[in-house]
Amino acid sequence: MSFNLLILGAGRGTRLSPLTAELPKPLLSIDGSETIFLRIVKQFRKILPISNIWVNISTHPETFLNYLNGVETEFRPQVLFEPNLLGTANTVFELSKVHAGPTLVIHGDLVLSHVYVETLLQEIRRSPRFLVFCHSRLSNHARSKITIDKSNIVSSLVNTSSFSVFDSNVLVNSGIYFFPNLQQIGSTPEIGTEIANSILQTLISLGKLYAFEVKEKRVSVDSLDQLEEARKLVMDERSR
Amino acid sequence: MKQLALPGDYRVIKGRVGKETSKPAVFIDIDGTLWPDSGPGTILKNPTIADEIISELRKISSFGYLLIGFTNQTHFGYQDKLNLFTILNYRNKVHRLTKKAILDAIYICHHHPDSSISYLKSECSKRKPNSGLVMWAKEELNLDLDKSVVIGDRITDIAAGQDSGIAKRFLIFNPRSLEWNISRSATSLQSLTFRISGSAIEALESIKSEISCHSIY
Repeated sequence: MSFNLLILGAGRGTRLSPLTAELPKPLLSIDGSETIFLRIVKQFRKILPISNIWVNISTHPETFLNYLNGVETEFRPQVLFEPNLLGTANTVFELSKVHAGPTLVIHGDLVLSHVYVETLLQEIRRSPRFLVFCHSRLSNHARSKITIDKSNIVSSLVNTSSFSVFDSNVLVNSGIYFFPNLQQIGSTPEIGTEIANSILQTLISLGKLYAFEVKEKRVSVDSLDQLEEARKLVMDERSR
Repeated sequence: MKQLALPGDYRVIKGRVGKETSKPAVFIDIDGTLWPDSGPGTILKNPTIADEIISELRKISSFGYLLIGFTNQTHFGYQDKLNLFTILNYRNKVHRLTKKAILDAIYICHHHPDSSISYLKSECSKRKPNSGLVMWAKEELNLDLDKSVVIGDRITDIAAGQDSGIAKRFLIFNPRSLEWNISRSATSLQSLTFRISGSAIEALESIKSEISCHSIY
């Protein structure tokens, strides 16, 4: 089985301003030279048969294309250019128009430990189904909160901005999804930027979206502190 | 919808192109892709096509692909009045180009919405990013767009290819035209999917290696 890897790189990165004033977040350097984008590609290429790498771009497209042009051919992705930001679900829908196979979707600001990646792939191989990966933390530190039943079927995935009450230690969205077959993603989604829209909500309503909690180390680079934390993770792994 | 040739559209087709069976094609943009872009009317300045590009085009042609140039050429539209000698000179060079770059056909749209010449002033459906030129070629040459490829140095080339259903699309990275691409196109274009290549040669090599693995003939 070969996979598509879709890296979500279209976000505005407003929380990392001014670092992202002229640079898309996936192009931030995490170890002096390697970007977050390239780390993700290399990590997954190393242990997964990937037939197609994709990245969606929207913010600073000239900078992103310039960078991709310099990436070695073996790691260079195909581009999904969004003149207007679509949002995760709609980007996946756009990709489903040109590619059908099993697809791993990952936010382009995630720095994952190697153990995290291995855990994630084990779960995909064990049971290839529509999956959203999640972890436990304070909901007010997350973009979206996940509610699951005993079978790990997601019953709701809601943006925390829609909530006035913050819970402690709930399952939140890690920004990594697996779709065993994009062809099963039908209906035209509405245009929007929220993760909970269209495709994912449809899967939830059909009882087809499963959650898998990963406890291994990951850093979502949303602030300068987290950028430092990500760099530390990379350095620690290297020194071991 | 059938594509009608309007005054201001032009095309040349080599006599040997057979239309009985449906064929795939490589659509290649001219200025900035087939040769470096040196501004309006580049073709009149006798630009050079790299030998490597010609060599790759020959190899792709040998797999049964038609080679089709497609281009917006708006330089006549910015002149005060049309000069017949310049037009004939231009068309002569287009004919020579089909031989030099072994292209099977070239499709050209001279229209521009801001042209100072009345009959070239038009929001033409053949002007990229619109798909009219590709569809015109498809109708005349019986093309299989599902197996076809488009190469261009502007987002508008990619949009024309995607809108017409061409399956594989290559954007040649070109810093000089990129800013124009994004700013002119961003507000009106739909989402686009494409591969990025450092040069036309790199794109042609990728195409060649892929079609040699899945040769249709």
